[in-house]
Amino acid sequence: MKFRILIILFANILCFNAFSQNSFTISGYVQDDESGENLIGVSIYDKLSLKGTVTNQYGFYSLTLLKGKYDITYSFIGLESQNKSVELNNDVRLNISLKSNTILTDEVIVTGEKSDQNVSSSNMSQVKIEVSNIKQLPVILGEVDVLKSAQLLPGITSNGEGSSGLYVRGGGPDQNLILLDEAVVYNASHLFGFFSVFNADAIKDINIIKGGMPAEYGGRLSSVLDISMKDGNNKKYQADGGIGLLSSRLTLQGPIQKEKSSFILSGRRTYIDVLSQPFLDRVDPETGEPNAFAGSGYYFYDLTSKINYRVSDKDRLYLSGYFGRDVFSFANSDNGFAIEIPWGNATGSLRWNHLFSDKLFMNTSIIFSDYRFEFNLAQSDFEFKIFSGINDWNTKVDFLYQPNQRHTIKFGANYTYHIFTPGNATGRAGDVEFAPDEIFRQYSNEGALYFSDDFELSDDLKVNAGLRYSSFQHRGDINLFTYLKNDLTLSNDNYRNIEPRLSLRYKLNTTSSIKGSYSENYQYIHLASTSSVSLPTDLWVPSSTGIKPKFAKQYALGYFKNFNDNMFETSLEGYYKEMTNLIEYREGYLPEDNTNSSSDNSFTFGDGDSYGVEVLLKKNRGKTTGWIGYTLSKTTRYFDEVNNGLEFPAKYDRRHDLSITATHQLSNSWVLSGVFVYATGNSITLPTERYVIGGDVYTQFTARNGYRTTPYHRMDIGATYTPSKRKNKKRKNKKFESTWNFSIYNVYSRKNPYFIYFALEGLEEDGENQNIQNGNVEPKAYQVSIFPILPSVTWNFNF
Amino acid sequence: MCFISCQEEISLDFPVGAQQIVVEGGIEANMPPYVILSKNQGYFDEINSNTYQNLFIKDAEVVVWTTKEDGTADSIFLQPLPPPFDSIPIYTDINYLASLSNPPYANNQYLNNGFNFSQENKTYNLIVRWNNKKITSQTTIPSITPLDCLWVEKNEFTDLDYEFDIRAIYNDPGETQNNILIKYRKPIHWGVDSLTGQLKDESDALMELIDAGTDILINGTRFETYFPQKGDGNFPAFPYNTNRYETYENNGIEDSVFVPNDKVIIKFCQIDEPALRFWRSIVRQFGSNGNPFQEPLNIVSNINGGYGGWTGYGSVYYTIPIIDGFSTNSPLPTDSIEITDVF
Repeated sequence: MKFRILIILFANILCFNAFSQNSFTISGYVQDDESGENLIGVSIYDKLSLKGTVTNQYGFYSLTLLKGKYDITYSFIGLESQNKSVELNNDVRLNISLKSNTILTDEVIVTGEKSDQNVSSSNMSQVKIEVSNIKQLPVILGEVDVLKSAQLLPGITSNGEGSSGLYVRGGGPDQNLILLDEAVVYNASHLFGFFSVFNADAIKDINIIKGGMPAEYGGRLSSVLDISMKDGNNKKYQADGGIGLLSSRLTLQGPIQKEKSSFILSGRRTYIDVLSQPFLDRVDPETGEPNAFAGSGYYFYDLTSKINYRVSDKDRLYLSGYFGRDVFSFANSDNGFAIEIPWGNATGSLRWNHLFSDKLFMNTSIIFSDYRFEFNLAQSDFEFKIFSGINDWNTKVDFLYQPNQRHTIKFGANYTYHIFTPGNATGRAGDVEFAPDEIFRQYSNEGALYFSDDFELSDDLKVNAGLRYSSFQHRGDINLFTYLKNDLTLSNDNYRNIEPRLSLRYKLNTTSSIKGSYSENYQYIHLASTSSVSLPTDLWVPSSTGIKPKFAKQYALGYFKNFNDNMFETSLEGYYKEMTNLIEYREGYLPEDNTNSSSDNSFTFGDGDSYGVEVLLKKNRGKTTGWIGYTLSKTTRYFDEVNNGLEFPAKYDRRHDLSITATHQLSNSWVLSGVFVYATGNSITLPTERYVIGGDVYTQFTARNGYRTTPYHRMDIGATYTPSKRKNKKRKNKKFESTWNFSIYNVYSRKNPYFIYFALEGLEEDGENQNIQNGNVEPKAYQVSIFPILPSVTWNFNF
Repeated sequence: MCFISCQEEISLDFPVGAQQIVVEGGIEANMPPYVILSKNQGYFDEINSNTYQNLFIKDAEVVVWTTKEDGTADSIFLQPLPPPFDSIPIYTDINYLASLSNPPYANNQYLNNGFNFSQENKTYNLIVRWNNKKITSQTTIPSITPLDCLWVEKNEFTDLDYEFDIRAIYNDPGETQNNILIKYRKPIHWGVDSLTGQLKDESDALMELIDAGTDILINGTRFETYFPQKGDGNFPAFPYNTNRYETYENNGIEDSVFVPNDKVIIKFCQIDEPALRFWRSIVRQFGSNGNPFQEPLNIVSNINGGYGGWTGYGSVYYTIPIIDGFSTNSPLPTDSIEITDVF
C-alpha cells in the first residue's frame, strides 16, 4: 500500500514540467480591507472553469493556469467578493483586500469556506468554525468557548456537563493535537475543564480535522484543532472588550507601522476571587477573629499577544505568545494549613514566511510550549511540593509548492525536543529537607519529515496522498522501580515509523461527491490520568522501552451533497478506527510509584476501536443558518490487565449524539440563536459489592464502565442585540459600538448527571470510627447535577 | 459551584457479584498468625448487626506454612478463638495459646514460651478452604527498623493546654526501599459527655490504621516526624490529651471532672510490597470515600481467589502516655505486647 502511494506521487511529480511550459502563476496575499488581517481559506477561482485554490493559513495563495485571459474571483463569506480580470502571459503578483459585505444576512453564515468546498475538496472529516458565528451562539455564564462549540459537531463529544474536553471518534483527550499558532497547547482547559483556554476575541480561524489527517500534521492519533490567532489590525487602533458574569476581557490592536506591522494584545481574567475576598477577609464581629479561610480563592487569567512585520513583499515575520494560569488556593489559619495549586500553559511562536517564487511558499517556525502543574502544601514547619510538566522546543519548516492548478504540494520537516517532568516531590520538616539529588526529568527527540500532494487525476477524481516519516528517541536512561526493589536501567529507545495518508474525492456531479480516506498515525507522548475526568494533575509521559508508541489506523468513507446553490450542505461519513498501545494506569497503581522516577512501571497497555456514522446537515445562507449533526458510534477498549481482560466501553463511548444549532437574523439589531444536544449517557464504573476489613466497609467495583447514566440533553437559547448599528448610521463619527449577548443555558433545567455517588445512610458515628455494627445501614445512590437553567448576559464593545 | 448544583436520590440496577472469601490476616515475628474470614455482600444489601455477624466465616480450614532451613515444610492449623472471644471469629494457633499458663489469652502470658514458627525475613503461605473453595496467599516478614526516639510535645495549633502530639525521629535505612505501615490504639482515652458531664470511656478496642507507604521520598534520611490519627489526612488535627479538669453545667450548677490522660500504643511496621499495595488501597479507598472523580479503585488484594490481605509485619511497639515531656527510645518488650494489638 505504502509503495503504491509513492509510485503515484512520483508519477505525478514527473508530469509537472510538461504542464509548466505554457503556464503562469498568479499569487499574493488576501487580507481584510478594514483590519489588514490576512484571510485564511479565501476561495480564488476562475469563474469560467471553476479551477481554483484557497489561501493558506498565512493568507497566501498561488494559482497556476495556462496562458490566457481569466476572470478571477476572490470570495470569502462575510466579505464582498472581488473579480479581477487577468491576462496571464507572465507570472502575476496580486495582493487583494476584501471589503466588508454590507448585506446583513451574510454575516451569519456558518463557514468561510468556498461555497462548494465540502464537495470539491479532497479533504474529508474537516470542519472550519467561524469565530464570529460561535460568538452568537448561547453560552454558559457568558463565556464564549471554541472547544464547547466544536463539541456540537458530529464525531466530537464531550465528557459530560460543562466539560471542554474533546473526544474525537473514540479517541481520548490526549489524542488531539491542539495548536495555537502552531504551538502545542497541552492542557486546553481552565477551571478544572469547564472552560477552554482560548480567548475568542484573539482567534481568527479554527480548523478541526477529525480524520484523514494531512501529512503535515502528526504526533496524535485522533484529531487536529488548528487555531490561528489574529495578526492585529494594521490600519487603525482598535479596542474590543466584554464584561461577563464570570470574567472580563479586553483586546487592543493596531498598527505599529501602518500596513507594515501591527500588534494585538488580549487578556481575560475571572472575578471569583475578587468577589469572594471581602467575605473571606471579614473579621468576625463577635470574636474579632479574622476568618480562618482568609487567603482562599480561585482565579484564572490568560494573555494572548502577537506582532507581525512585513519585511518585504516576500518576507513576513510573526511573533506570538500565550500565557495562562489557573490558581487555586485554600487556607485554614485554625490549623496553619495552606495549599496553593497553580497550573497553566505558556507558548511562543516565531515564524518567518518567505516566498521563494510565486509557486513556492515557505514558513519556518521556532516554537516554545510549556505546561506545568504545582501542588504546594504547608502547615507550620512542614512543607510539601509536587510539580510536573512538559516543555517543548520545536522548530519546523513547511513548504507549499503549487506548480499548476492540478497540484498542491506540501513538504517539510519538524523537530521537537521534549522535556518531561513527570512528577517530582520535595518536602521539608523543620530543618530537614526531603529532595531528590536532582529534579527527575526525561528528555526526548521527536522528528518528522513529510510530503504530500493534493492533485487532480481527472476533473472528477482528486487525490491527496502523503507520507510522514516520524521518529522518536528517548534520551537518557530510565530507572524502573520494580516490586523486587531492583533499579533496572535501560538504554535509549528509538522508534521510526512511516505514516501513509491518503484521501480521495470522486465528483459524481457538480453538487455531490464521494470521498474516502485512510490514515496511519503514531503518537509518542501520552497523557496518564487517574481520574474519570481530565484534571491538571494528569501527567504527560514519553514513549520508552516500557511504553510503546500509540498507533491508529483510520478508514473513512463519505457522501457529500449540496443543495440550492450550496445553501444546504449535507454529508454522511462512516469511519472505522483501530488503536493499539493505548495506555492506562495499572489497577491499584500507587501515585508514589513514580515519584521522582520514571512512570514506566505504572501503566498497562491495551487496544481499542471505534466505528460510527456521522451525518451533517448545514444551512449556510439566509436569515436562518445552522446545522444538525448526528453520530451513531461505538468505542471499545481491550486491556489484558483491566476488567479481567474483558472488553469494556471507553468512558466517552456514545451510541447516539445529536446536536442542533440555529441562528436567526430577526432584524438589523437582533440575532436569535439556539442549541439542542442529546447524547447517550456516560459509561461509568459502579460498585457492586462491599466487604468489611477492620470494621470498615470497602467497596468492590466490577465491569469497567459497565453502567450507563441517563441520557444527556439540554436546550440553550440566546439573543444578540446590537443597538449601535442603526445609531451609527446617524452618528457616523461615533466609533463606539457595543452588543449585548443574552443567553439561557439549559432552558428546561434538565438535571443531567454530572456524577453519581453513594452514601451509607444510618451509619453511626462512633467516636472517630464509623462502624457498621452499630446501626441499620442503608446504602443509597445520589445523582448530582450541575448547571440547571442559567441565564447570563455579556456586554461587548469595540471602538 | 454549590449554588448551581443539585442532587437527587436515584435507583440503580446492579449486577450481583459472586460470593468471595475476604481475608484479614497477619503474621509477625515471635507471634502466632491470625486470620479473620468473612464474605462479601451485594452493594445494596441491608446492613445491620445480624447481617454483619452473618458475614463472618466460622467453619473454614486455615493453614499457615513455611519452609524450614532444611527445605521441609512447617505448618500450623489455625482455629477460631473459643467463647467468649468468638463474637468475631479470629483464627489463630489456639493450641499454642491454650498451652500458656493463663488463658484465655490475657496479655503477657503466651510469649514467655516463645513462638519460633514466625521469624523475620521468612515467607509464610496461607491456605484457606471453605465451602468447596480454596484461596491462597503469601507474605514475608521484613526486618524491623525501630524509631530512634519518641516524645510528647504540646500541639502548636491549639490554645488548649492539654492537647499534645506524639513526635518521633526516624532514621530510614538507605540501602533498601522499604515500606512502612503505622497503626495505633488508645487503650486509655476519656471524654466528657457533653449532656451529663460524666466521664465517658472512649478507648479503642482494636488497632487502627494510620497510613501505609513507601520510603521513596525519605529513603536514607533521618528526620523528625509526628503521628497523626486515623483519617486526619496525615495532619495532627486531633491531638492527644493530657489530664485536665473539665468544667460543665449540671442543673445550673457549674461542676468539674478530672479527665485522665490518654495512653497510646503505636505499632510501627515494615511490610512487603504486595502487602503495601493492599494497605495503600485500603487507605486510598477510605480516604477517597466515594469520590466520584476518582477512577474507581478496588482494594488490591494479595489473596489468590479471594479478597483482602495477608500481611507479614516487621513490627515494633511503643507505649506512649500523653504526659508533657515524656520521651522514650525503647520499644515494648515482646512479653509486654497485648495480643489484641497483634490481631
